[in-house]
Amino acid sequence: MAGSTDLERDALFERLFHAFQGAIVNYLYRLIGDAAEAEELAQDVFVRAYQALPSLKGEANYRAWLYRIATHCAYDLLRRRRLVRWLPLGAQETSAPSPPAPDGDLRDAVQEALLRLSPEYRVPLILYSVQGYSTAEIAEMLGISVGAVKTRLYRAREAFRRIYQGDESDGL
Amino acid sequence: MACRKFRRDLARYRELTPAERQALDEHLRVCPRCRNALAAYARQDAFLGTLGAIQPSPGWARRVQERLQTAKKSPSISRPVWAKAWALAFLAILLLASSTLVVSAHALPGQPLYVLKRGQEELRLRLLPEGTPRAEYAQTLAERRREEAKRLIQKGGTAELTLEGPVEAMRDAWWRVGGVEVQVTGLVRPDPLPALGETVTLHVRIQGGHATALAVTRQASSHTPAERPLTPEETPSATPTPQGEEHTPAIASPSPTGLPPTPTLAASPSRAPANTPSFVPPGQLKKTPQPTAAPTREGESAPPHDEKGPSGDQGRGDAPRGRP
Repeated sequence: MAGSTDLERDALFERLFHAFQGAIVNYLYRLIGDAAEAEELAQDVFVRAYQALPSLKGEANYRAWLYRIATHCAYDLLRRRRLVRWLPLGAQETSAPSPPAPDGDLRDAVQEALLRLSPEYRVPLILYSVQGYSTAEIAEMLGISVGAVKTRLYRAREAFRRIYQGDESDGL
Repeated sequence: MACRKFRRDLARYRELTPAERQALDEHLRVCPRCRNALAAYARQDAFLGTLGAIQPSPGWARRVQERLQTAKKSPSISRPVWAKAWALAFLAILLLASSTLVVSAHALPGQPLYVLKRGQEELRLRLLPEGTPRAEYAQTLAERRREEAKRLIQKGGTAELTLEGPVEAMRDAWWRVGGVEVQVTGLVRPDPLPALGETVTLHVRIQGGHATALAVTRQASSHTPAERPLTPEETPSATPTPQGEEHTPAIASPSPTGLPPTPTLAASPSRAPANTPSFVPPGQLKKTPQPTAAPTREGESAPPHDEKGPSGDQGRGDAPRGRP
């Protein structure tokens, strides 16, 4: 068990909180697209993490574990918003690609394009391209195989190309 | 076709091993579509890189601390633990309920679990669709009641219950209904008497190793004497009466016993047809002329001593031994 006494548990949690609070808030912000909601959700993530800490194995990868909690929390929120659509290939968007926005609105346009991706593909693309994790790390965070991450990442990239970059699918 | 092999590698170009990258680069030299895809992915990373990072608002960390304090004050049972507790409690209740139901299946009238058994049966009967399934289950329940009566008689238990079954034999005051020997006194015998094979409903009291009918209801209320089937004794194929001996009808019609009518006996079971009262006070009994059943005796005697025993087929020419 990680942190066998209350003091050890509090100390461990404090280290995790300081190490990952910014990353988790940003990850949630990219996933759900609203800063206030992301902060609220990040609170839930850390409270859940604190409560679950005693049941965690000592050798656990804390970062992967926190990201997994965060991903589940985000899925719950998105499900409540009725935004989650489990399409077979993830690209829930069939509308015509929007042209790139002017420079000043670039961030908003990119964020908007991200939000139009299915959450199933949004998650690996954010973790790989925005957060900078490897496919092996993402696999551990999501509890899926590395092969599945590679496939989702490729499909996420293709979907993002169609949505934001206006490219036709390359049909690979 | 080679593009398919490299497509997932294109999406994760930065983490390829040197060997993987060399193989992909060789392919890229000859494949403009994959070169375009790689360039598109590179632009994609650049776009996504513009998103930058946000900083949590100043009071955010404090709010997390406050929520943690609240979480600490509440019972610190982690989710897996209380989930296991609920699962165990549910399992225990399920086991208890199922074992109680299993045990109650063997309960006899008068025992505490018998109420549960009957409740379960009644619920199932109501839930079954009308028609054949419900009728078949009703038959099963009727058989079950008769088995309970037999076991109670064997054990010498005491209880009142309602039986339903075909009249298999009638000798004096002793009838066999669905394999159960029941004493049917003149007080409760219906008039006209049921034919052999006719289904009747009996409310019986079992005590001291035998059953006494408290009320009798004929189910076939439309039976008229003319329609009543012949009893085995009346049919030509029935057991022949010894020569020189007068043929004695098997069925003895009731006659007044002199006992006052007991009000409780008049209460017929709820399923009794309205036009077939279960009990006719002796004073009102009329001997209806019947072609097959002449009034003979009013014997409330011991059960018939049948050579075949109680389970024998008394319906086939089981003539009573005692004669008036």
